[in-house]
Amino acid sequence: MIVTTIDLRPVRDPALDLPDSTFARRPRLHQRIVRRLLAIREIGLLTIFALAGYIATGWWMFYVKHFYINDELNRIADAVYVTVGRDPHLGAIGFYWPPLPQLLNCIFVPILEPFGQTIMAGPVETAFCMAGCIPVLAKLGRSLGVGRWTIFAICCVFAITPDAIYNSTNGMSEACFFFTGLLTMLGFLRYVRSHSTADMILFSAAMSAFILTRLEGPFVVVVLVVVASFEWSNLRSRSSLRNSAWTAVLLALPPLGCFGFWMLVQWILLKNPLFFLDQSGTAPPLNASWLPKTSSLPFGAVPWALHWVLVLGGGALAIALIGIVLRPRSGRTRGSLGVLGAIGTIVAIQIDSVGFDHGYGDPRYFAMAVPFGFAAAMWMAVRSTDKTPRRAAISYTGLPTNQRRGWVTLANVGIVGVLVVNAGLGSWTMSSGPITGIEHECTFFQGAVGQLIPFLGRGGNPADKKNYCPPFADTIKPYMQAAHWLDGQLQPSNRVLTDNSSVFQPDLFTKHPNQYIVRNDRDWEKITANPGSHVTYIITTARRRRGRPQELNLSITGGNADYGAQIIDQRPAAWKLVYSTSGGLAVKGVGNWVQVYRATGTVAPEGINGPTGLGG
Amino acid sequence: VLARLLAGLGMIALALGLVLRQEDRAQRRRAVAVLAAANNPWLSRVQLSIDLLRRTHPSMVADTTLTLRQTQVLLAGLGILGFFLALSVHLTVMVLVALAIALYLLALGVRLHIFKLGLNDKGMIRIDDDTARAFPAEDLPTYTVLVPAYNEPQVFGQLVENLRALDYPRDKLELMLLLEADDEETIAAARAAVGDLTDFVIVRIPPAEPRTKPKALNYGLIKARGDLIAVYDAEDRPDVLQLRKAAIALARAPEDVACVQARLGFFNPQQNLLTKWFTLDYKMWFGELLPGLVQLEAPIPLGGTSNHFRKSALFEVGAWDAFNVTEDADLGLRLYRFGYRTGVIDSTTLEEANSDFVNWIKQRSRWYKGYAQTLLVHLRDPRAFRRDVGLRGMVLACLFVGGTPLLAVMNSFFWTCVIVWFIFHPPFFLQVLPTLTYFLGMISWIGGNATMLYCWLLGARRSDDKLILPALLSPLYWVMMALAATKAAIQLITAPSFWEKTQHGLDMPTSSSDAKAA
Repeated sequence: MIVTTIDLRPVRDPALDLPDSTFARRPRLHQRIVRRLLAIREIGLLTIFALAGYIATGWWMFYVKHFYINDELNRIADAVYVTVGRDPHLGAIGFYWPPLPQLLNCIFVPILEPFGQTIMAGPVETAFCMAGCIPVLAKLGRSLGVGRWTIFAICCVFAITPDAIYNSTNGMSEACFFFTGLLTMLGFLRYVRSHSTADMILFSAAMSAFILTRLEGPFVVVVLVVVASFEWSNLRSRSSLRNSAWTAVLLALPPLGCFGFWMLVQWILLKNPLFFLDQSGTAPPLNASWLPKTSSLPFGAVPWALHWVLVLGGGALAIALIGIVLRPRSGRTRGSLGVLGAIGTIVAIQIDSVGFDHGYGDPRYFAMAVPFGFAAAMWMAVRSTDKTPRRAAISYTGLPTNQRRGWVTLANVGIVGVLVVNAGLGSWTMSSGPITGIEHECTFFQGAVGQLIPFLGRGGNPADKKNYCPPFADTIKPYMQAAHWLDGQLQPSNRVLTDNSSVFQPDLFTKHPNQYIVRNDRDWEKITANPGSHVTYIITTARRRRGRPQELNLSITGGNADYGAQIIDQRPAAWKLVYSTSGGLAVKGVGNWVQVYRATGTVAPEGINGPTGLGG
Repeated sequence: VLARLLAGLGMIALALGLVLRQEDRAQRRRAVAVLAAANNPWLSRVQLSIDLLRRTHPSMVADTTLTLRQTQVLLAGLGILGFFLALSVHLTVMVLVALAIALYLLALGVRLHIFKLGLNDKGMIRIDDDTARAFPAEDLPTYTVLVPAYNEPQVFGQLVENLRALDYPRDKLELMLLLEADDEETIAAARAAVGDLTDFVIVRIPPAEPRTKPKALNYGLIKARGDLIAVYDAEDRPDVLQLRKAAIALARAPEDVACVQARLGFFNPQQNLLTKWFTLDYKMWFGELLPGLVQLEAPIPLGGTSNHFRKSALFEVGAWDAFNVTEDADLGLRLYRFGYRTGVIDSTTLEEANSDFVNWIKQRSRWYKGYAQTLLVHLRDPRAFRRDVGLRGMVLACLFVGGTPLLAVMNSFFWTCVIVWFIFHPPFFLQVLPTLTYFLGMISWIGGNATMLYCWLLGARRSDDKLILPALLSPLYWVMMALAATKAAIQLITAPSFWEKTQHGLDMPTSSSDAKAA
C-alpha cells in the first residue's frame, strides 16, 4: 500500500527534452485519412480523371464501337470460371499465358457480376492498371527529386498518350505490364541509390508481379538484377563477389519463385513446364522454324534459351562491358545503366520478333517500351540538375548541367516536348492504312478515336469491317445465342462441358455459369465416360484437326480446341447434336461454328449444390 | 443427429471439467502461498513481493487461468459450437476454417506492415557511444540492476565480470543479485565471485511459493534505491554503455515513456543450426518487429531481460506478476494499459542462445503459454481493456500476444490437414472450402509462407550473411515453433503456472554436464 504513494520520479532537466521523432505521436486513423485526402493534389486528381476517362472509353469502345479482342474475352471468361464457375479452380485460367492479368480479373469479375457487367472486367482492370501508372510515375519522379510541375507535365503526357489510352481499354496484358514495369523501375532506381532493405523489398516484389505479366518481363528482370546487384567497382574481391551474389539471390528469389511456381502449375495442368515457350495451339510459335518444339524434347528449352542468348546476349554483354569499364559506384550511373538496359531489352526483343520472325511480330508490341521511356524521362529530368556531370559516364545526357533555373526549365520542357512528339508519332504510325493488315486491333482503336480527334485515325476507317477488329455482334452473337438457348434447356442437375480456349464465350452470357465445367487436366475422355460427372451437354466448335483427344494434348498444346468434336466422333451414338449456329465468324472457313450436343444416355441425378468431385 | 448432440454435450462437459480443475488448482496454490507466508519470519516483504500486483490491481493477477466469467463465456461458446455442430458439421467447420484463414491473413498483413515500419529505423533510439560517455555523471540518475538467479552457480564468475564492466558512476549504481535463500550452492558461488566488492548486494529471498523470477524481481524492487531499474539474466553480457544510454534515452523521452528495451543478441550464434535460427529470430524481433510496434504505438511484449524502467511507473502499474510465466510480456501490456509507452534502444545485450532442442522447446512453450495466459488475464474485462488501450490497441495486443501462440498451434493443425489432403484426398475437405475461402486460404498458405521466408532472408541480410542459409531452412524452425505451441496449449490446461526453467551454460562444453545436473 505504502509503495504506491512513493514518488520516485527523477527531476527532469528541460534542456534534455530534445525532440525525438521516435516518440512523436502517431496521428489517429481518421486524422490520417483526412490528411491523405487533403494531400491529394494535381497527381491525385489526374489519376482520378484518368481512371474515369479510361473506364468510360473502354465502355464506349465495347458497347458503342463494338470493339473487343478475343483474347480479352478469353481472359475474362477464365476469371468467370475461377470465381463463379462450377468446381472453381485456378486451373481454369489455363496458365498458358503469364497469369497476373487473369488473376487481377478474378478480383473485378465478382465485383461486376451482380451488375451483369462481368464482360467489362477486362477493360476495368486495364483502366485501373493504367491509371495506377500515374501515381507510380509521380512517385518515381518525387523520389528522384524531379520538380513538381515537371512531374505533373510528364504524368499528363503519359495519361493522354494514345498507347496508354488504347491499352487501358483493351482488357489485355499490356496495362498490367506498364503498371508493374513502372513499379519495377521505381524499385530499381530507389534501390540502386539507397541499397536499403525496404527498397529491396519494393524492387523484388515489383519484379515478382512484372515477371508474370508478359514474356518480355523475365528478360528485363535479368538485366535489372544484374545491374543492381554487382559491385562492379570491386569484382576482384572475393567478399565483394560473395556480397554481390547474395544480393542477386535476394533480389531474384521472389521473381524466380513466382516464375517457377507458374512453371510448376503448367507442368501439373499442361504436362509441360515449358509450355509458355511453345504455344502453337493459340498463337504463332515463339521458336524459330529451325528450332524443335519444346514438347518434343526432354530439354526443349535449351535451343530456345540459346536463341535468346544469341539475340539478347549481345545486349547483355554490352551492358556488362559498360559496367566493367565504367565501374559504376554511384546509384546515378547504375540507374542510367538500368534504364538503358530495360529499354534496350524491349527494343532487342521487338527487333528480333519483327525483323527475324522469331515471335509475335506485331509492331504494336513496341509499346512495351513506353513505361520505361517515361521512367527514362524522369531520370533525364533529374540528371539535368546534376552539378558535377561526368562526361565519361553513361549518365551524361548532354543536357544543361548547372542548376540555373532557366536551364533546368528549358531542359524539362524539352523532355516533355520529346515525349509529346514521341506519343504523336507513335499514334500517327500505328493508325496508318498500310499497317492495318497486321495491326487491326490497334488501328481500329486509332481509327475510332480518330473520329473524335482528327489528328488520329490517319488512313484507318473503322467502318471497314474486313480489315478491322470484327464487330461485336458478328463474332460473339453465335456464342451468346448458344448460351441463351442452353439457359432455356438446363435443368439444375445438368452440367455443360466446355473449354477455356476456343468456346469460352458462352460462359460470359449464361445465367448459370455455375453449371459450366472447365477441366484443368484437359481429359475430356475421362469426364464424359464418368456418369457421375453429370455432363449432359457439350458445347464445342467444329473440328479442325484429327486424332484422339489424348494425342491432341500433345499436338495441340494450346488449349482444348477440338476436344469436344473428337469426343463426339469417338462415340457418335452417345451424343446428339441439338443446336448449332451458322454464320458468325468464319474462322478458317469452317461453318456451323458453335455446336451443342446432348448426351443420349442416362446421367446420374444430383442436386445443384453437390460437388462433382472432379474439380481442382 | 443424436451422435452430434452427444458430441456437443461431451465437449461442454469436458470444458466444464477442465475449468473446475483449474479453479481447484488455483485455490490450492493460493492456500499454499498463504501458509508459506504465515510460517515465514520475512512475512511482510516476501508477501509483498508475491502480492504486489494483487494489492494494487487484483484483477490482473494470473493466479488462475480463467475467471468465472471467462468460464461462463467459454462454456457458452462451446455450447453454441456444439449446437451448430449438431445442426451441421459441414457448415460449422466451413465457417471455422474461414475464420481461421481470415485470422491468418490479418496476422500476416499486420506483421508485414510492422516489418516494413521496422525497416525504416525510426522506432529505434540511437545514442552513439561518444554521447553516452560524454554525458555528465552528475546528471545521471541512480540505477538499480536486478539479476535474479536460481540454480545457476556456474555463471557467476562471468556475471560479476560483465556487471563490473558496466560504465556507470559507482556511487549511483546498485547491483543486486537476487537468490533464493535455500539455493545454497548458488549463494556460495555468488559470494565467491563477488568477494569483497562493495557495489554488489546479494539478496537472499525467503523460500515461498511461487518460486518464480517475477517474485524475485519484486523482492529486489522493494529494496532497490535507484530511480531507474534494469533487469538482466544471469548469463547476460550487456553492452558496457547500456545503462548510460538507457538513462539518457529515458531522460530525453517524454514522461509517459516508462521503459526502454535494449536489443538482445547471442554470443553463441554459430554453435549449431538451432542457435543460428534463434539468433535470426531475435534479430528480426528486436531489429524490425519491436521498432515497428513502437512506431505503431502498439503494446510491446517486453523481453525478459535488458529492460530499463522508471521505478515510479513500475510501482504504479503493480510491478511484475509473480504468477505469470511471461511476466515480461504481461508487464509490457500493463504499462500500455496505464498509458505508458516503451521504446527500443540500440544497445545489445548478448545472451546464450538455446542450443538444445528439448531445452528450446521447454523455453518456447513457456513463452507461448505465458503469452496466452497474459492475454486471458487482460481479457478478463474486455470492456475495461478496450477502454484502456482502444480498439486498435486491443486488436494488436490480441494479434501479437495471443495470436502468436494461437497461430503456431493452428499451423500444426493445418499443416497436418495439408499432408492428409495430399495423401488421402478426403472429399470432406472440398466441402468445407468454398471458392472464396479456398482461394484466400491458398494465398495465405503459399503467399504467407513465401513472404515470411523472404522476410527471414532479409533479416539475415541485414544482420549477418552467414545466417542466410539457416534462413532458407527456417520453415523447419517454424515446425519446431508449432510443436512448442502445441505443448504450451496442453500445459495451459494441465499446468498453467508451472515454470519450466531454461538451462543455461550449454554453450560451454566443459560446463554442460554441470548445467544439466543443475
